Amino acid sequence: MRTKAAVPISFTPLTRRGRWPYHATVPEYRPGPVATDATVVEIDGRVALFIPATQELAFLNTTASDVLRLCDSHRTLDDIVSRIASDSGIPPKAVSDSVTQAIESFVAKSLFGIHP
Amino acid sequence: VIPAPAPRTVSVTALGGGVEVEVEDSRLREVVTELWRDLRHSETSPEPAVGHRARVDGTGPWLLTTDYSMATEPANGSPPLAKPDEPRADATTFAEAISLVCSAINVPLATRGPYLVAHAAVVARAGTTLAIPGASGAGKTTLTVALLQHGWRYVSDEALAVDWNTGVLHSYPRPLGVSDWSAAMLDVVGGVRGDREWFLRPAELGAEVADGATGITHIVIVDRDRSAPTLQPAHRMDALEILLRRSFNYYRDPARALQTFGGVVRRASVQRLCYGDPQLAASLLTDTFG
Repeated sequence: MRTKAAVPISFTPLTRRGRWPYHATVPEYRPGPVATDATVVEIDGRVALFIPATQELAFLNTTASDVLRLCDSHRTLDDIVSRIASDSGIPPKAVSDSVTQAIESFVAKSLFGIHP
Repeated sequence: VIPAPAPRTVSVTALGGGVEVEVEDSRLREVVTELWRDLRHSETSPEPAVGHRARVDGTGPWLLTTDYSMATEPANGSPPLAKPDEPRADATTFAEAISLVCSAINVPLATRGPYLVAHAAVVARAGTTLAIPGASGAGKTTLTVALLQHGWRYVSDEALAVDWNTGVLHSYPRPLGVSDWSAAMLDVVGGVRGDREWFLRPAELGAEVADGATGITHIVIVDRDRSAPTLQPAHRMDALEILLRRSFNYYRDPARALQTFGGVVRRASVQRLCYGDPQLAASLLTDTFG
């Protein structure tokens, strides 16, 4: 029996209002890189950020940190899902929602520019 | 010859700042001056960068007027300790007056000075410096008293203050404010009666003020429960998040605060302490780090 593994993301799920970054849900979307004015501190595999656009401090768990690191504007959403799935040993379908949600959050918080 | 009038002002200099409180009540003035004596001798900064003034009128009731808000800035949604833009407060008992003046001294020093400050207790011993971040009521002072009773030296029960650029630690040995519960639990005798707490200098616990501690070697995240104390390694990022959430003034420059506290955390080990009895917890910390 296959159970859906939880991949915790520290961002609060966002509501769909305003200008929602639908790009993040397109498999060919290549997210990243992190905005150059963001301050990124990485400690023992986890990432903390200060995002000037939203004046927010964000503390990512290990999985979200891994996702962020893979967002280099070259990898597609599918590439990132595949990589996270392979590194964690969890089927891609089980991690897809969490990875997408993390990337949507990054975009919504203006951490990336929008590159269709 | 007319003798010079006795000074009516309590002056305290610490963390690169200074506060002058003009106190009409001579008894109140003497008690507060004695309580804050350690700070006036421990300041290492050359000159205060900021100055604040307050005045306490009356000999009972007492009225405090300040040139600053008694509110500390809310950290990440936490409620402020007082209403913003409220420079006046009063006390009807001597104990309340003591607490009022101590707050009037503490708030600007801990929150308005030139250093990056997080709400934390700090103690030191033989090259080891522990920081215990936490909110008010988390048990920082209680654990600090227990650690001082185990031979640790006092840096602060209130503020982990570091230079914004270098991360170098600055001491803030204000008088400890020990709750009635803590005083009873830890057999603390003496001190000055404040409003629901006792104020005392570390010397009254037989402890010394630590001079020369320059860096944090261990950060202890505390969780209270009723079990025997345990100490487990924790992720450094957890400590960084707590320091920033408990910072009084990170909002002045969040990016630099993230980097500065990030540097502090990288140089320290991080442990999570679960405990119920502060004496047993202090023994465990002393056996492990002391």
